[in-house]
Amino acid sequence: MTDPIVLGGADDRDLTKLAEYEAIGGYTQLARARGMEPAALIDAVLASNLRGRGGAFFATGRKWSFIPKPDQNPNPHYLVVNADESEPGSFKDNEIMQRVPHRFIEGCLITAHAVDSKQVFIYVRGEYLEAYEILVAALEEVRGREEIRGDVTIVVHRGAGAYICGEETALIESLEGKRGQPRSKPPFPAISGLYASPTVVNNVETMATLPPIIEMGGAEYAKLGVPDSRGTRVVSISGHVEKPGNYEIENGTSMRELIYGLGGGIPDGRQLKAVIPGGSSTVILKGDEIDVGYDFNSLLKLNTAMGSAGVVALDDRCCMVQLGIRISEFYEHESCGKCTPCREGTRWMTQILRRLESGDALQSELDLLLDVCDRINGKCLCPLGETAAVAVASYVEKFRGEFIAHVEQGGCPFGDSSPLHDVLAPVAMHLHSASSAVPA
Amino acid sequence: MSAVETVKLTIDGLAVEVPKDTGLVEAALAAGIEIPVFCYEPRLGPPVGACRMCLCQVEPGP
Repeated sequence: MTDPIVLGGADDRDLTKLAEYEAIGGYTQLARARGMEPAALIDAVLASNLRGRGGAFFATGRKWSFIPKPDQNPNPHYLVVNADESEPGSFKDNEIMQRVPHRFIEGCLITAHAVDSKQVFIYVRGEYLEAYEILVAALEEVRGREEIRGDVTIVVHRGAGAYICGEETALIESLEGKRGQPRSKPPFPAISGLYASPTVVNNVETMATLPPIIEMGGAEYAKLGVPDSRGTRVVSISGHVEKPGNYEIENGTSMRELIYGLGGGIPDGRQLKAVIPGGSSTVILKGDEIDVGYDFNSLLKLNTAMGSAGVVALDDRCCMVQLGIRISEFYEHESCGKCTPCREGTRWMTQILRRLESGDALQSELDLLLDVCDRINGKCLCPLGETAAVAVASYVEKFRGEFIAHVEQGGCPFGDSSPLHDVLAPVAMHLHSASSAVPA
Repeated sequence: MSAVETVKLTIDGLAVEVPKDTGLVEAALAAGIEIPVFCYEPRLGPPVGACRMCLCQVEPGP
């Protein structure tokens, strides 16, 4: 187990304070990065093999290198940081912003230098009030320090409670003051993003990983982890485990270690039934499939992904149909309604799953459900509906016997005793207006 | 005057040649094939691509 890099030092000191962060060498990497040519900085990040921590796992250095040169496009460059972490099961960015806000800000300023941006927008999830306040307090400290701030303006924008605004083009629309709906791509944000200007959209964890990368050097950082998944990852472990929470692991750590080691195992001596490996939108793993490294390639072999690193363990009391309803209701509620397959398809998925749960469904409706999933996949502007379809289809494929039992028994074999409240919040808890639930 | 650059494509077995950057809907129309559209209205601007009524398969795919 390596020492934490992103959350490093936060156990011993209160790194929300600028003085404490500077005492452990904070903001020295920013000075070092500013001493480098942007191209050299991008090369260092390319050498580190850092890949985006938001979920798509796109190489960060490559993303930066897509930003056109001023002679190709005279518009200003923008850095937009996606702190709209809304994936059910994922809560790592929250902790990063709350515990190491200055490391996060330092990463933002390093990126701003690399992509020649004078304007940084941080789009914080509306519900993350505490993280927002800590971040604003940290920025207030930086504001008085011109040698840190430089000529960069950082704007913190609070979202209003829409999951879709975590999708980069919907986030940009929302930032521009429009309805948060994804754009048709191409053009990608690197060419035409915020205010039709070249824009880099990066995740919070990606930003907070940059100061350590500059400190260690790209090549040294690339020694951590496994091929294609270098470095560390902050993983949110939740569900039926003894010790849920955020843990920073080296990529490639086995999933068994995550659940039985770090997570402390399943409470009450119960059996592990399934694991959602990377937030609600990833393909589920059965309890006996967890002897796999937590990295991109290993999980890809099982057709799943690290996603936003939300590991959710489910014990043997859980009903997969009920889990399907919970996921599908969430995506139905959060679908922005722009593309028909997602808007209508998630609704139909929920209806079929509800019929299965109540025992009203026919055997043929199982295939109908998979057919609806297939009609969403790859037919929308963004992956929202697709991920719902992929996730639910994986429950049907891996636990088909359980779905058939619902049909044959005319109801749920688990009754009301399926303890999903420990796993993912029901959609009713997402129904709120940001202004009433969170003080403005 | 330079000649307009064109591309050749086959739609439902019919060969058609259209100017470069022509939309698929217009290209199909040039071949006499109507792809149903709902959210696309040329007078209102570029395609939105949201209702997916025009969804069709393109080979080779990306």
